[in-house]
Amino acid sequence: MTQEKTNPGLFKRNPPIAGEAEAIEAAKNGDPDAFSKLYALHKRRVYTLCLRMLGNVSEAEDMTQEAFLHLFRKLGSFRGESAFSTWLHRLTVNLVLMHLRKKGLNLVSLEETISPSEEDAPKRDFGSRDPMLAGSVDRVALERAVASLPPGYRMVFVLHDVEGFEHNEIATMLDCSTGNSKSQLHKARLKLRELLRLQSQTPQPTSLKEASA
Amino acid sequence: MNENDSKPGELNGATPAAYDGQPDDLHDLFGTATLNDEEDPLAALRNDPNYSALINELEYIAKQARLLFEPAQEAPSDEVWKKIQDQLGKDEPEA
Repeated sequence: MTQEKTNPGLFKRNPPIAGEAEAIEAAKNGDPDAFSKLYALHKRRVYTLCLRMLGNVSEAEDMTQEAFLHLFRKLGSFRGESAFSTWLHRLTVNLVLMHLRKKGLNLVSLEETISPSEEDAPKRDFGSRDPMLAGSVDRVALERAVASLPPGYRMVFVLHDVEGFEHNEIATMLDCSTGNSKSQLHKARLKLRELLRLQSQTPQPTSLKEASA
Repeated sequence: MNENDSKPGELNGATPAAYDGQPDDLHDLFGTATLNDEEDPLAALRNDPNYSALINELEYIAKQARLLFEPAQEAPSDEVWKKIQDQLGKDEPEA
């Protein structure tokens, strides 16, 4: 895998982990314990990323497996020009997107297909002044709402707002325009606002796994 | 960073109905805004009572989303690591 230019924002969000650099070098030299350490350090974030993008536990586990196998094969090409976790996340995102395309998400028509149907689209209540969300959304509630988003919205929201990718990077990954990425993000946030308000009115399961199973 | 700059001055005093006619511009404004932007593409809307609450809520959601990046409780099952180990026994890393 080629090295992308350094993204200071992502470096900021991915500070070096103690012992990681040594583990990377040892794993490059075939040390199985070092690779095991890298798996232990990153399995949760990689799995959670897969789960958020796919919304399915079984597929998320399969893609986590694929991501680490791919990592093992490609680790020699990691030069440390970006944070390791940034590199690993990009690798994982690309694998998940390839997986989705194999399932029928057409690269050429992605710009259209990532748009959900009208009934999934957020309501146009731009003028609402109800501040009920402020300070009331916890991690579990937001995870649940993200899992409920239509796939196209969820993809862009996770990549931009959670993972920290820029719109131009998302546009390249999803093979769509930056304008489309921005539009999808805005609609995703509006839809989340609706979902969070609905959730606050009904009892919910307590974990992401439950919500997405 | 906002390569699709609108003309903020033109938005002052507009009603939501007026924005309905230009949804792409509005989506672009909201979709572009991030918490670290030095240039605020939403500046013209922040004092508009029709939009200030909406902007606050959408920014709150984006801020909470950043917290989801922190290590999660969810982990793959032990079976995943077993399968990786099985496969690693057959694979060789690329140079």
